[in-house]
Amino acid sequence: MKIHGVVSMTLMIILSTLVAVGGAPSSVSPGSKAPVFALKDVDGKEHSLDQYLKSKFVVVMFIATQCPISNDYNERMVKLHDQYASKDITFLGINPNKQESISEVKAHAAKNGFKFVVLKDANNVVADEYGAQVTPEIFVIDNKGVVRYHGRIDDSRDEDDIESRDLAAALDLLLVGKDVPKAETKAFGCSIKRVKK
Amino acid sequence: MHTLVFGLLVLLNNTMGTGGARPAIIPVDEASLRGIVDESRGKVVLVNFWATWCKPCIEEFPDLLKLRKEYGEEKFRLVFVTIDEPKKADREVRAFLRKMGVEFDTYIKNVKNDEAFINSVDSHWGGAIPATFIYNAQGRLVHSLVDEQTFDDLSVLIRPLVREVKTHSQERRSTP
Repeated sequence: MKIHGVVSMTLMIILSTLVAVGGAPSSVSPGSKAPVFALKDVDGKEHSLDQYLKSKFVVVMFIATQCPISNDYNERMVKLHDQYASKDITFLGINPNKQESISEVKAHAAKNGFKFVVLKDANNVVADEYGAQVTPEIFVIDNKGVVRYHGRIDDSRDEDDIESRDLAAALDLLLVGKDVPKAETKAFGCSIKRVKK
Repeated sequence: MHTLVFGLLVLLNNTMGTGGARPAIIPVDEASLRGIVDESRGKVVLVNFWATWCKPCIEEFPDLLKLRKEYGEEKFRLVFVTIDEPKKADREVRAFLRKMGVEFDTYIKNVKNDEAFINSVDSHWGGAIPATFIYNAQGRLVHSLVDEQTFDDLSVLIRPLVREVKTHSQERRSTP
């Protein structure tokens, strides 16, 4: 009975750690190994994280088609891609929302001129593994597969009010071999619309 | 200073030229939001973060209002905090609240540092909305929920907490 109690308590502690905020598992933190994944793009072609770890860094962006905040960042994501692609950094968009179909994701990518690959995360499997909660949400992964930055693109929805360009600053530091001092940031965004499991 | 000026503007707007009292939309920061929870000790408090541009927030709004009706104001307090831009407070936010029939004061985020505000509510919260936080009658955060909730989902969590709350008359009866 006593052992049963200890086991139950241990399980409860583990569960509360895994599901820190109801509906979303805990995020993969900087310094942790990034979960590997293989997802199909909007044309049905499979892409794995492994194949992109040949780049210096991979920027994984959880994005949405219908979230007004994520959409406010469409242009900024394109600009960041244009700025850093030539520096051997790969950008991958991942759409994990259950109500946003592959055809919708494809049309959205074309309309917004995304030059980076956009993948559909059916049943939010990868979002769950990364503990992504919000769109837009960024994970920067180095070529050893370790997360080096997690969080926001910058600190303002309105481009005129940006005071901290967190993602660009993180990439600039990482490119010269430095650590990111504030490797985890937050901003308001839309919840990821998950399937119930 | 920023908060004070904005607060005065909201107060003036709430009291002038309306031809009658209307519910206020009060600016909040980390400290004042914690103060709202603390001053509500003795009640179960549900804090909901929403915005006019957030579809699931709008969809769950009627269910939250139903909870307030179900559990009454003596043992339960519903706190709406919109993260809309304060300059929108008097147009979109007020129009939406009116449409929903909200006749009590609600709140609007008015902070410079969103990250600090998010962490002050729950360090595990990534900033996704809709988000709902439930505090027990002792002011302790007991449930953190992101995404759209239903009346039934929340009721399962709130009912046992409300049951633990003693009414004033129960307290008087139990006093020797």
